[in-house]
Amino acid sequence: MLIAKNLTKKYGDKTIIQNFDLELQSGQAIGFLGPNGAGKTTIMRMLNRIIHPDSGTVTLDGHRLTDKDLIKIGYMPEEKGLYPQMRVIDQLIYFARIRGLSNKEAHRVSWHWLNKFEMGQYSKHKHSSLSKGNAQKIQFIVTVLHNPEILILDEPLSGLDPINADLINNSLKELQKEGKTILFSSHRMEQVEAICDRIILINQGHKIADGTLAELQKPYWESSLILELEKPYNPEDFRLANCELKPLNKFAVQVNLSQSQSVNQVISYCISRRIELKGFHKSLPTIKEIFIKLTEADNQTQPIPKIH
Amino acid sequence: MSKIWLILMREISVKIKTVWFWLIPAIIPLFFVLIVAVTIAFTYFTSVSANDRPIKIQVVDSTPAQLFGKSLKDSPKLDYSLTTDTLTTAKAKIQDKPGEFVLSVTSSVNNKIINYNSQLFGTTNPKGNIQLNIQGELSAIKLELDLKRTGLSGEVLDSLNQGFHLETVTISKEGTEKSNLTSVAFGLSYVIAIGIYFLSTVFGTQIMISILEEKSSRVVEVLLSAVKPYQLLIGKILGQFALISIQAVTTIVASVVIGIISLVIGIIIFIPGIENNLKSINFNQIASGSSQVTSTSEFRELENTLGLINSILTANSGWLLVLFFVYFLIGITYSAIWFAAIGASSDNYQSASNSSLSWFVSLPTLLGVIFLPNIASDSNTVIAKFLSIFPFTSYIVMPARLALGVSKWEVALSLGCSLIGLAISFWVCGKIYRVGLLMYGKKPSIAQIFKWVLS
Repeated sequence: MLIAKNLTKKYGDKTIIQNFDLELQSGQAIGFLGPNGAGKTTIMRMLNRIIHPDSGTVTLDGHRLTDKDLIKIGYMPEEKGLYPQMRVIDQLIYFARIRGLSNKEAHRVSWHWLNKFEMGQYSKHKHSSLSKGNAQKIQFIVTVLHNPEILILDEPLSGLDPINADLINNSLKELQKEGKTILFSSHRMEQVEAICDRIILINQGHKIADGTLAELQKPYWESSLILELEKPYNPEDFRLANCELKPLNKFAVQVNLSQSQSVNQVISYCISRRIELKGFHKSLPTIKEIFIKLTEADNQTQPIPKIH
Repeated sequence: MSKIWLILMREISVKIKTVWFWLIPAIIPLFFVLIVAVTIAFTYFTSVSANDRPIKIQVVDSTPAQLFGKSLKDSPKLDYSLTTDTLTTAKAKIQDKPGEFVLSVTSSVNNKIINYNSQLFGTTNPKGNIQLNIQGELSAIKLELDLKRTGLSGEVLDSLNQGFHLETVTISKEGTEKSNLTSVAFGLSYVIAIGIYFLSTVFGTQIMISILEEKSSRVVEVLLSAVKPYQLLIGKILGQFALISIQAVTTIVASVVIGIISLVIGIIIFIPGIENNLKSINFNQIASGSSQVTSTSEFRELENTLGLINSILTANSGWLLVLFFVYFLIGITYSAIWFAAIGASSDNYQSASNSSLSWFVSLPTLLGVIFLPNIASDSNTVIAKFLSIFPFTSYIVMPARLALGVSKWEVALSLGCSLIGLAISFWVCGKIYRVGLLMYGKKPSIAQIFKWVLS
């Protein structure tokens, strides 16, 4: 288990990360979300010991993270790139060996992953000659070929077409099934929802939410209701006090409830007015909506400092 | 250590697979051979061929007794004939005869000194070294005339041409005498000092380029998640050192091979022709008199110089060579770590060349190079001593002073300060390197870099 406690990082007078806590449990896939400049990359770099926090600690399985532990971590940075003039196979072997694998083992795992991604024919190509999608697949292989326990992936799917994105998504799911811990940042919320067990939201260097998708949606459970109607929607039928009505289509309307109203009251109202309902369900916000709401709320309480 | 070894091997394996890595050591000696070959070929093909007919030269000698016209001897290439025509008539006669020339020799007396002048007229330019041949013959005749007039012998003239060589000798406290051989010693040291400066700059630039490549290709963050910055830097420095060593050995081998091949080709192609030409040019005449005297005195000078170099090397060779090598190592290490910091704090080669840190590093070193010639006049001035101790200039200035005689304590102080400076540089550059490697975009100012160091 990787635990970060009270991580703080300053650049000059500017505090980038402030008292940040994080707990990565084995086998979990955690989505790491936040607007640009929120501090995600800085935290990921600190978890890899690429940069050191000004204060706070990072522990792995109960002991302080050391350079020797780095072999247990696979890191894919946001700024992706490999040696442009080096052949793909030489590159994979080099990075496998630099992460502690023997020459023989480095060859074996390199070919295993090349074949798995059906990229064997590119083994002798220079990295610079690969397409963006293929280059990113090689980058992913470089991250995982030493079989790390923890994967820290900064925007692993950026710039990928849907087919290649699915390929890497499926690999991540397989790795998660094998018990690997995954921390992964992305701006593609639907992929975060699809893969991650837990989501951490970060803004201006501090955590603003941490939990499963259901837990993050919980505050919004009672706030919205979608009514499916038998007959076309008529605003005259709905004279609900303190409710905001938002027609979705001819036979559906979203009712945004105020704090003083409950779902029961809305249903009772419909029955009393003989409005025929085909069905009703709670309207839960997507992770994208939660992200926007929480970030905006946080920015209002803590104005974003101007950077000159 | 294994990670440093892997980084070192990658640096080597990538470079040695490029064609240029092997071409450059071959191109350098080839370039020199080409220059020599072109010069020889030019001389050979523009000189008069053995099959050509002799060139007719009408000599209009206006000097008293026409001694020049009478003394000029025909050769297989030149056919002189003394004419009684005036210069105008002689010139008119060759108007429709391309390849024929008129040689005019005149004299005038000014303050009892006889001045001779000569002109060669023709409708075309004289071929090859005809002009030099005639000039040499005229000079030889003039010298002969002068010797006869003054009654001097060739031996006396040789003696007159000899100058003095002043050798300076230092007497140590133990009473042993040591020749200082100032000018030659300084020349030798100067070449070594410039060599150290040049090689260290090339070495540092190579390190900087390698770092910039990793930064611009964005591979550096992947690397830093597996290796420490210092491992990356040490691996690179050792890798570049190995590459430079391989190239040095390759250049030497290539020079020897190309030299031997060129010599064999030269002998096969040119020697028969040269032999004929030498005969035709009649060097005996050209080199007689003053030429002979000059060559003898120049040879003696050269002999002296070689003797002095030899005595410097045999007297101090072990001690000096070790020190030169130590300063060379200090120089390339200094250069490597500072250029690494420059590379890490820049995004590309252009911004690295213009970066404030680049100027901050280059200027003091350049000061040492600019100051080098002053050491020849006095190697023991306060500023010479300071620059041979100051870490940024010591590896250039101290080697230049070494062969001139420097006390042991000064060498020890210089080495000590250089090593302390090296340790401080490692610490400062390490900080700049670690922060700079992950920084992209705006070029940092010296103030910002100073903050990185203090952070």
